[in-house]
Amino acid sequence: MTAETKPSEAAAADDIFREELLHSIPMLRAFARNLSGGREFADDLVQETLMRAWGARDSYTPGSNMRAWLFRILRNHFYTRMHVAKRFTELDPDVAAQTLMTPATQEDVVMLADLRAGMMLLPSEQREALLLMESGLQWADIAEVMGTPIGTVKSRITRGRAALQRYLDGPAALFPEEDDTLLEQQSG
Amino acid sequence: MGRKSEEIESVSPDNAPDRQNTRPVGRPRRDDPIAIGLRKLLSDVAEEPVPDSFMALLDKISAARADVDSKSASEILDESISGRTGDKA
Repeated sequence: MTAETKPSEAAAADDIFREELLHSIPMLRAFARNLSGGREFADDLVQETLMRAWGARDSYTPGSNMRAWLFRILRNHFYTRMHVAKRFTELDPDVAAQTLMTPATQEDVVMLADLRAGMMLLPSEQREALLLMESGLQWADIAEVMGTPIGTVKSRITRGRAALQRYLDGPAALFPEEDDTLLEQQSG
Repeated sequence: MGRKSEEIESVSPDNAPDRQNTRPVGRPRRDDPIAIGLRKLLSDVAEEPVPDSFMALLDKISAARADVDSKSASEILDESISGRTGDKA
């Protein structure tokens, strides 16, 4: 009976693990897409993450934070791919088209398009930290995923946010006096 | 609002334009426009239908795990990636 029970328990554990992976796919795709900037590259990363997660499932502690564990696998693989291939982020054609077709009258949509573009210009470590935070991870989990101290995580987030804000503010925020001069010239 | 594809200059302690106006280190407020925007960028992708290739991959892994003599994980991944043509859900 024991011999029959063990495989059965293992199969049940596999099923649970598989379901947890399935449940994680949307947020992994979201993280990968916004980290890499490309749809296909992102989905490759997620598929490889799923493979590696299965291969390393013995190192996963049931009940611990699977999301953080999967994020760590994905980001490590992302940096490995970037390092080996010297591959710079490429804007997905769909994303680029969406950006170009953004209706100018919809301010919130314009802001999202600018935000997406700005994110891709950030250093990847800052982009990654911002995405992990907005994915709902706690400081300690983000630090674990990134393999850095919490202070470094907070610093990257602060610097990333400041850079994004400056990008979103645009030239008017960078050169306010010049803008005033131009306005005066135009009105005069 | 139009943007140029210039590199964003990172704000470091040496070149921060206005440290007084920089939010203290910590989580931004939930109603912060950048935070809201980032969550929207994430949720837009997360709400997309998951391509069938992901389910197929997990099925293959499950089958391979049940058979120790089956293909290696890398072989399965290679097949999955090469076979994922036109799957852009």
